[in-house]
Amino acid sequence: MTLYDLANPTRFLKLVKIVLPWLIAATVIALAVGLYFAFFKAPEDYQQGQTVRIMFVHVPSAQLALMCYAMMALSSVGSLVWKHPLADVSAKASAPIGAAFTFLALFSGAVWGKPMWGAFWVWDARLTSFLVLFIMYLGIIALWKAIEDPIKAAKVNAIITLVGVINVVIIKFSVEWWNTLHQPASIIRADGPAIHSSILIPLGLMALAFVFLFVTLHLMSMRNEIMRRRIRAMRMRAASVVPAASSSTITKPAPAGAR
Amino acid sequence: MMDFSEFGRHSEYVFAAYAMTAVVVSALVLWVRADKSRLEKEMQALEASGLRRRSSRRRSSEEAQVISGKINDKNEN
Repeated sequence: MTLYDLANPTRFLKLVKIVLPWLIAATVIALAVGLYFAFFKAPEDYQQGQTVRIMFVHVPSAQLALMCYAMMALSSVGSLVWKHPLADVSAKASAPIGAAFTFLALFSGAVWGKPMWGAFWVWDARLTSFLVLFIMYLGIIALWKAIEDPIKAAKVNAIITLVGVINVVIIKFSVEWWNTLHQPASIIRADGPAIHSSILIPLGLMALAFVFLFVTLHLMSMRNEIMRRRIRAMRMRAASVVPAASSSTITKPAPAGAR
Repeated sequence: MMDFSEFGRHSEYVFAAYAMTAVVVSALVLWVRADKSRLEKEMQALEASGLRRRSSRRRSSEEAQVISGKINDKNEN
């Protein structure tokens, strides 16, 4: 099945109906296993103590925040270049999920920062660029709501989303380009992860659980958005039929006897 | 393995992070589900008022044509 086959929303909805129960089960199992490893298998860090456990929600949240934006950017390309019918549905559905995970990354980072750095917040390049990402998500959600026509809203949002990709690059490389309080990359590195496997495995499990959670929520939101558009189309068609019917009644010529 | 009795002096930060994650994820799930049930009700109300999706109307008219075609065929036979 190709992307073009999925361009049909009805076919897409049928696929979602089949896949969703499996995804929900995978999410619940992965979360349960991930949390078990995070709390009962992972040792405490020799410097950070128990606060290292915050990493098991902070890092997956931050990764999803970026993944969501990448999904929005890809969907925007699909919307602008190929005019894929589900691309703008996907972009719109991603935004609130991305905002939620960006907020979680900021919050968990703040409560991790206080015991480790002595401050909930510093105007560090990584933290500031992540705050910018959160504001961008809120702006995109507001724009979707502000423009009534979904096709016009999709075009405007696609352009803004693609311009905003620059911030994702800044977030990724902020810890290398500037001298930041936030630690540099410790998982995806040229010389391998800098984290011991006893902590890396629970982190990987939680990251996998969060990815399942994102895919599940994204598909559910896309299904809702397709339904919302169908309702809108039905209402518009009803509204266009009523005036046409009433105008035909008005312009109907009067019977000869009435003149 | 974690020992809850010796969770450490920063336990409130760990619990705050996990509690907020639970709240936000639950809120997201509930919001998506509530949105779905609201939209389904709206769709049912529209369909009950006689409105149909264009594709379903096309499908039903095609079905009607097929049925009428079959009836015509029978009549011709």
